[in-house]
Amino acid sequence: MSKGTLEIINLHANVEGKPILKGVNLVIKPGEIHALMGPNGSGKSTLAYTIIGHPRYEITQGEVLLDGKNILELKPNERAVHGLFLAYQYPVAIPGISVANFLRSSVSAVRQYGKKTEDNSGAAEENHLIPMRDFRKELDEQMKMMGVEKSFARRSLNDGFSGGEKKRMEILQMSLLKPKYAILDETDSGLDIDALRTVSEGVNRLSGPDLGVLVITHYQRILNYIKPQFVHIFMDGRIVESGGADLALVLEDKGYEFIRQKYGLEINLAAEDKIALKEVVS
Amino acid sequence: MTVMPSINSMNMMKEDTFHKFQSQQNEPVWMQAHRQTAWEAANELPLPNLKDESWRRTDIRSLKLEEFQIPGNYEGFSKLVDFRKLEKEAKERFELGRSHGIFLMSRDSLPHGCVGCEKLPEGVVFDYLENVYSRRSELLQKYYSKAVPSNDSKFAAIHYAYQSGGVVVYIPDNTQVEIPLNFYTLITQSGQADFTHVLIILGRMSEASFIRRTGSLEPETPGLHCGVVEIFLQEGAKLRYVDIQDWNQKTWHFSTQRAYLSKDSQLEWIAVGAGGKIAKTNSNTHLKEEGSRVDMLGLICVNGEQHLDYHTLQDHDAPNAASDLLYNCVLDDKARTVFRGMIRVHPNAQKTDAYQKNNNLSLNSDARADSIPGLEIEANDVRCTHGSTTSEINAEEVFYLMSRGISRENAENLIVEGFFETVLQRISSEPIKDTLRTLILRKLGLEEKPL
Ligand SMILES: Nc1ncnc2c1ncn2[C@@H]1O[C@H](COP(=O)(O)OP(=O)(O)OP(=O)(O)O)[C@@H](O)[C@H]1O
Ligand SMILES: [Mg+2]
Repeated sequence: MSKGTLEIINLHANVEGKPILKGVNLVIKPGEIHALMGPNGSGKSTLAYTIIGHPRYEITQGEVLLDGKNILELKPNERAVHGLFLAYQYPVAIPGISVANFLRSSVSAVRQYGKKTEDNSGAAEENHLIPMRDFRKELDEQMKMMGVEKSFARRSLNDGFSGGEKKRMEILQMSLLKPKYAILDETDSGLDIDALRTVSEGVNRLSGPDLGVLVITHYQRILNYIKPQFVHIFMDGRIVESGGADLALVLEDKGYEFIRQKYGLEINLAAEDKIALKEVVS
Repeated sequence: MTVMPSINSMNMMKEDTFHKFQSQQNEPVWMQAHRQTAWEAANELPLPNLKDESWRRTDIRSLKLEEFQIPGNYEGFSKLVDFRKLEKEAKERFELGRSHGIFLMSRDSLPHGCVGCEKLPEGVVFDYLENVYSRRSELLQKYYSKAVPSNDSKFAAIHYAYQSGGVVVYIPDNTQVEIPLNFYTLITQSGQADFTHVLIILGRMSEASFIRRTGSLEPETPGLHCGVVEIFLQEGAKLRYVDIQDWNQKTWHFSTQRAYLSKDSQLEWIAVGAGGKIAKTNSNTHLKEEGSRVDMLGLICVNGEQHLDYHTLQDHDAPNAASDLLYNCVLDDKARTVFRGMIRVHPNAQKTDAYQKNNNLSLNSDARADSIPGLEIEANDVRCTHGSTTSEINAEEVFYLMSRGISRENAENLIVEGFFETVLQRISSEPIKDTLRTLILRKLGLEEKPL
């Protein structure tokens, strides 16, 4: 069961001592597309960051297995090398680092250029980087497909980029890094209608039997392009309901209230959570 | 190399030493007189101390001027030094092969030679001061020590007393020199003092690029630099001036630099600080006429126990002039930097556009950057802003890069490079940008590391 899967098992995590993830269970297999929907502040981004390895989140319980191997011990860069990718809800801008320079370093690291050429005599610095020519060619192609203008290659990473440009840049990175598992955290927010299509097409081009995707979103809209087989509802730090693609439609229609009502009564919450939830419901 | 000509064993602050030095110079009377005046000022003026406002953060109590040797006539020097080797090392050190241009080299404050000077356009002067004393006497008398007088400070006075091996650049009106002019100064001897002077005069509508670079042959030998840089830009002239301070970390550096800008002239002034033990650099630009513009860019990278102190002045003395300063410093280990910048706007300087920014990136909690930006504005219709930031490497930026597969070390290196890149991006010449990038990467110890 574990080979070739991303398994999140009873994951608990704190931020600054405050519990945010409260027992997340989720299994994603290659070729599957999962959608994760849930109210603001419920912990979706926290889940994404925790999987990717942001040091701010302290894991108190549970594990994350990638192809059967616990990755929680790995550094974020090692996780990337193992094929994990997060398209950020709020990508970071770094002045002075050009998109091209950054991507060349990133692609070389993820593809482990250094390792491959280490046996070669006199492994020079160039050996650790994908040759400039090959890289430029690949970058140009991908940029074209993602509808990103050539001039962006020379600009500082995300610096002064519009919201939508940043999101495109995230998917451009994904298409170069070709991960095994990708988490898209609200990649659709801030995109205009055309950009949403381009970006979704970008994701779809990459998806296939080898890629597992977790799409975090508030809206059904992106799911019309990137069609999930599974939809999960995330509330208060855990997945409270899972279903097929139609669950997203139900949510769109009814909002989260019906879930709250349902689980305010049914699920086994900690005592104070129960009271809080009941207050919301009543 | 340990045998010194006799003059060098003498205390540079002693009367005898000065007179002996002076008697060995073959120069016109006015220059002799100038030296004499400077010598007197050097004796009268006290060494600055921590009580002086502008020296509060730079302690030079351990400086012993008498331990340094003045430039000698080096009788028998050629027997002691393998010139070929010297030349070769200098070439490697200064990457003469990589950059292109015309090169003038001075070692231990002695003229050493020129590569490519025959290629210069008619009327252009690019030569050692001592070579043009007689040939361009009127030019020198008009400009020499007019921006920085010899009684400006103790260090300026000492400089003018012993000034030697310096350079003059004169570009006649309407002349564009595309090929960069390089002036290299190398300290090769332990305990050597360097007194090279830089005098640049650009005629009306002329253009030039000048790169001044310093270095030491050995990494551990003590040295002293007492220098003066004077720049005069006439109407519509354009100068790119690159000042690369790359002495070893045992060298004291005191430099007084001033530029005067006439109508519509433009100066791109790039200061690179990589070397030095304790350094004090005063860079003043005087926008004397309308329409002039200066860009002052600083790339400063220190480690170990280096202490680099920069004082800058953007002096607006005419309407409609612009100045824009950006100094970025990276500090590691126990290094210190001081940036004290001033924008001064005189009452007549309406419509001034002046900007000043100093950013410091600290890689070690033992490093310290002091930033003291200042404004003195006496005109009412101006746009002036200043600011400074001091920070460590941003953890969110590191995480973002790491999550893209890049190791922590490489992520931090990329961020530091990026910090300098924001300054490099503003340099208008690609070859100069490349040269400076290489120099900084080397200083950061990154040149051989794979990304
Ligand atoms: N650094 C932090 N310090 C304190 N609280 C934090 C921090 N990061 C996240 N939180 C809190 O954790 C909770 C979950 O935040 P998270 O960003 O994971 O929510 P989300 O489900 O992604 O919300 P949204 O839909 O608005 O993106 C929120 O209450 C948030 O305030
Ligand atoms: Mg979120």
